[in-house]
Amino acid sequence: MERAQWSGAPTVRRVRRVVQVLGISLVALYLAMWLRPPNPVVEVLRAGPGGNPWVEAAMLIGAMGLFAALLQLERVLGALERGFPFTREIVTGFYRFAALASGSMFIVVAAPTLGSLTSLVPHGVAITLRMIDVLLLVICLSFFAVAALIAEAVRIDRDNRSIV
Amino acid sequence: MPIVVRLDVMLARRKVRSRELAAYVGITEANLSLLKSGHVKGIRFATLAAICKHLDCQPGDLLEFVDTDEV
Repeated sequence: MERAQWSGAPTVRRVRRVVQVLGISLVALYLAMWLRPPNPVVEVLRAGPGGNPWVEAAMLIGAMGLFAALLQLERVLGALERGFPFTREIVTGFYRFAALASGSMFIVVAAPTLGSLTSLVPHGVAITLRMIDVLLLVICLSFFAVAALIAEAVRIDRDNRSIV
Repeated sequence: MPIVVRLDVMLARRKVRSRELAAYVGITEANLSLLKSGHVKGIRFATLAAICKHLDCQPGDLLEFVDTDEV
């Protein structure tokens, strides 16, 4: 079947560049974090001085998940830039991105509570939620809705192409 | 599919080639071939009208309902 090229490629190209820069920045930030611990900004990110290793591990897993999500998004945008917006490849890629981003954000949101649970100092469990993290988690979860919309668009596109 | 496309019969009766009809209607030969073999989910009224005009026939000459439950 013949299919027309779509016009959004230049915009997608720009977004893809931003995602690439974000991914590289994330890796650079975490490398800086582990290689140069005395930095005060880094100490805040490391869950405080003498940080809990469980929290640090959770934050690292969260960062790796976010990097994997960005990598997945970059692939999806690459497929979009090459041509057709409504393909199964883009749908599965977007679902993977939504899952990775949501999972990572969930870990990041849960990390302070995990720190409280695994703390060596005996005290009650504190559930700590930062509004911005929760908001980011909701945004990540909404990507599932976007992926479902793209899946529906793929179905409609396929139906439309089978009408002559 | 209970709707059977009889386009190949009309093409043979009118002695019109698929390529010529495809060019007149403005669809690809591949799509016309899919239409002839019934491997499409639908046909636009514009396409149907163009085919009818070129072959000088009615939509009923091109499409036939076959009740598969009775077979």
